[in-house]
Amino acid sequence: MEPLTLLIIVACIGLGGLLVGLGVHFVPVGGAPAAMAQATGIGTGTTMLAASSGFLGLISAGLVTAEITNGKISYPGFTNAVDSQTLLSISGITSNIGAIAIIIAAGVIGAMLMISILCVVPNVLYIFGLGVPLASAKVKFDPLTGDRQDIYVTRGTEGHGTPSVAVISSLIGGLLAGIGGALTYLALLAGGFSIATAAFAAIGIFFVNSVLASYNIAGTIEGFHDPKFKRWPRAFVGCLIASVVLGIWAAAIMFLGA
Amino acid sequence: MSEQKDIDWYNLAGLGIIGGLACIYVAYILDAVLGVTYFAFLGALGAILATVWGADAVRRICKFGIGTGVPSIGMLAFGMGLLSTLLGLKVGDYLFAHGLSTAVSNIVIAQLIGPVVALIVSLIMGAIVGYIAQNVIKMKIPTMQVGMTMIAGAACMIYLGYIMAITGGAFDYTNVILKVMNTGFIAPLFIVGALPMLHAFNACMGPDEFQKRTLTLAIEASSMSVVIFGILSFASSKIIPPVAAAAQGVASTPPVGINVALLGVTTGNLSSQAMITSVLTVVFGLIVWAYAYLAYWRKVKESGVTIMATGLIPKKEE
Repeated sequence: MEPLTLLIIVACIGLGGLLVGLGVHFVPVGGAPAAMAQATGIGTGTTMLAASSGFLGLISAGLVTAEITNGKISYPGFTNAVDSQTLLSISGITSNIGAIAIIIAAGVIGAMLMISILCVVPNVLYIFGLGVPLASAKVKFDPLTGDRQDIYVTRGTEGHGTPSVAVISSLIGGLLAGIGGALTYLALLAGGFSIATAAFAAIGIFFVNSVLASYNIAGTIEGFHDPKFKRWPRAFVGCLIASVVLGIWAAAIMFLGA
Repeated sequence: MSEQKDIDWYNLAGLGIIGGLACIYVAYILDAVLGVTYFAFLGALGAILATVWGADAVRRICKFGIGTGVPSIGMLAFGMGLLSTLLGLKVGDYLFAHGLSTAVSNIVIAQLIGPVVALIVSLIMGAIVGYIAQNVIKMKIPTMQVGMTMIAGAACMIYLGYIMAITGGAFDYTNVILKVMNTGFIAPLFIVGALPMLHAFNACMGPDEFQKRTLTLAIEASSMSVVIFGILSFASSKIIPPVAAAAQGVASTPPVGINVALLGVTTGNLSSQAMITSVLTVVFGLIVWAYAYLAYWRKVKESGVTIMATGLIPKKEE
């Protein structure tokens, strides 16, 4: 395999991990308190959120890859480029840009779909089941809709449910993490990994970056309006180093002949 | 329970590394020399020892509170461990293909190098991520650096041990890709393999948590994983590499798809040897589970307290 292709693959995995790490900062992770409607956000930890949206993103990216491979979506040359491991060489990228874009778009759709389901469906339960209004405790007014927040927050809690700004924020997170995950998957697939290996190696890289990012936000965050969001440069550096190193391991496997 | 003396975590690391590697190697060497596959369950034993090591490291990191829940650290460890383990096994495979193909009484020397390289690469990866967590993300957990190195190493050993249980005694790159990755068994391996390591502390944590009870639970949970991987090995041993299929004269259609050079051929019948290997793994898991379950039950009884019925609180103070 060409050194330049390997370098592009490492860069893609590094960029992918970076986007996942940044994406986590946008997702309203509420943790256990949110599950009891005592904090704003989705009522589970980052691990489960990363797993669910990452898996759905990979399933949709994998589905589109399969459709391209067996010819239902017509991108001639993609299968050959993957088989000859030249997909991520300069010429491979330019001639297969459409296929690469549609796979990344599929990953984005999967991740965003899952994250929006996770935001909106629990809101129905919070509103009609528990009877709490959706409110954020971190800001006085919703930065997007301008709705008053603080008077709806029950005393002793840190907000309830997932208000509008957090839903929009989570969609941005899903977009970034979806691009990141799909890019990682595509880079591993282009390096000659079988589909299952590429998918699970991508899941592994996804987990490392999402957990490192969630360590950075110390468990819970509401979205881009949360003061904790300002910590993102640390996760930027951390995720970049971690995913580049993982990318080097992957490139080493490819170099030895995956 | 504070008078209980904890086992030092470096001793447990020794148990995980030396015990785990020894189990894997003994299983491989016995299988190769005797020409059988029955000793795959020893790989599972190695994974149980590594789980004890990993569970202790998880316990010592998470005691300080990581803010994201204990499961995240197990997933992090297995995420780091996957590519590192594959790289290590690939190095062994590469050496075998390029020169070092000597075999002493059926023991391929190059394959023995794989697990050690996998462990070393995982430990390096763990040290890097530990450094990031401690110094870049600034988590201020004193045990983070060493602990993260340890859980990455433990994850690698758990992967290797369970890979051996699933494939029925093999840990070379081709068999791993064929029987663990492409079959999709990597999904349960990822989650069910990580679960015993993280679940032990997650279930036992609290003010009266103590090491022996937590680690007993780790053994109990990991033996259940052994049973699951033993069951999976029934299916995986039907898959044979294309080269072996051609040698045995099994008719095969060329696989369709991309990057399928390593896709195996599924034979319909299960050889009696493979079946005995899988049964041995399942039975081994069940025996360890029964023993560990009773041991854990005793530990819970020991640390339980009697609740005295005092009646309701009187409405008015006298």
